[in-house]
Amino acid sequence: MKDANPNTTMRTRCGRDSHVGFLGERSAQQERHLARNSEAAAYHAAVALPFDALKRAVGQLGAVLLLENGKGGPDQALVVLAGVALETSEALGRLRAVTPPRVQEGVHRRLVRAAELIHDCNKSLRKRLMNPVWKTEGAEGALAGLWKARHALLTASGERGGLPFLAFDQACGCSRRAERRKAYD
Amino acid sequence: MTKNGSTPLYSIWVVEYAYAPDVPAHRVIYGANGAVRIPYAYAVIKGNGHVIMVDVGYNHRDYGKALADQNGVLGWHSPTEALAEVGLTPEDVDTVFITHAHFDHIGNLEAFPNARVFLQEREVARSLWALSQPPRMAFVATAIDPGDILKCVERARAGKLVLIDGEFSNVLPGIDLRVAYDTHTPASMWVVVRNDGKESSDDAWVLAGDLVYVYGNIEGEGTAAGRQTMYRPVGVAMGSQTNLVLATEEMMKAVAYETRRVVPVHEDHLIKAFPSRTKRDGLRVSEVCLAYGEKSWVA
Repeated sequence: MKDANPNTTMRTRCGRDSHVGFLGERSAQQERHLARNSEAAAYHAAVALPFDALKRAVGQLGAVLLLENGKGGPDQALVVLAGVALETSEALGRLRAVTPPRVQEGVHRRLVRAAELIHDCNKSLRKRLMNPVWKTEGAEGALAGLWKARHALLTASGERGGLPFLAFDQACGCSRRAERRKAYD
Repeated sequence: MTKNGSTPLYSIWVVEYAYAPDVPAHRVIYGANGAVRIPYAYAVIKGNGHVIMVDVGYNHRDYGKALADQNGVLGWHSPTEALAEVGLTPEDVDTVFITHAHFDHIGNLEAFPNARVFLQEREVARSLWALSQPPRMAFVATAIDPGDILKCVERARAGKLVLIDGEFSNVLPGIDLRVAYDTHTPASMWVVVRNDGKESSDDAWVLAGDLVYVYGNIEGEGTAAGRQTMYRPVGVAMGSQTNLVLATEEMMKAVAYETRRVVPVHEDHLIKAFPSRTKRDGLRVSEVCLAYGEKSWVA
């Protein structure tokens, strides 16, 4: 692991460890499981920031496309694109500096791919804003690229990837069970 | 017939499609204790040759399992199943009003392929702002799914998305879109159905989106103010609770202060306010009003 985020610490829920036996000893299988979990947690900590940046970039570039005829105009859009370009490039740099554990290699490939796609979309949107003649082709290509990037990020999240794609807690229904769990995390 | 003797233009149903059995009450009503059951429901308006949805629910394929596991949202039914309860299909829906850009209100847009979608431009612009903030400010972007923005782009490129700036009277005959800034979200929309078609309606209904979750937000416990009841705003706000109270006042004005006419789709007791039917799976259909000539789907 070359670039683990020093500000992120690994946590266990409630301080409990479900892999510890009754007398406190661990089997070899439990040790392996724990090591895998620990590697995964370290990996998640290392890629959490770039993952978040890429996820937000997809939304920002989508919103630029959606608002292109709105009040802000191309100048505002170009400011957004510049910010996204910077964050994407930083994210790509961080991702390339990480060596994923074997079990996360697929996830990692998808994250790198998402960053590359977002980078390309950003470039094509910028080109499009600077040159209105290019308008039609640029939009379709960028939208397709953003969907692919979003898909790549989504498959890196969830149960297998483990990275959180969406925070549910400002939605209408967050159960008491969920609140209790957050308190323990 | 409406109160003033004219024939109602639109039918309105609230059709539940999922529920959360154990939601902390303080999320629903600011400062409340305990827990409540909240349904997730589609608000369907039909009449004048239109089938309209107020919000489209969440994308079950992407988030159903996570919502069930993490947030305890259970019993999801597809739009096809839910709308069949009032004799409709998702393809029948020609208009969608998105009250706000949270994933559980906008996320299932693709299920309504023929609909023209109305959304506040400011809601998108503020989502863009929120998504550009650094992770330490992630709170402002919670519940925004970047994929939902892409769905809106697709809809816009098909000429089927209208970004509106503020209020829109008579978006369809007798239907107005109103907006409450910096409340539950930056530009939460609410819908007024003037069912007699008159400008100063005696038969208005308000579909509140998430500006009012339950009737307790309108007739909340009021002893603190020396009253039996007072407005007690929704607990979850990206803007302010004060603005939510002001929005509640606007909604109440629109219905001449008849609480029942502000329809909150997360209200578990909606079945007590309107004729209703409970399906075998426990989910309910409430019939808010019927257009002239429309048959009852709860009888």
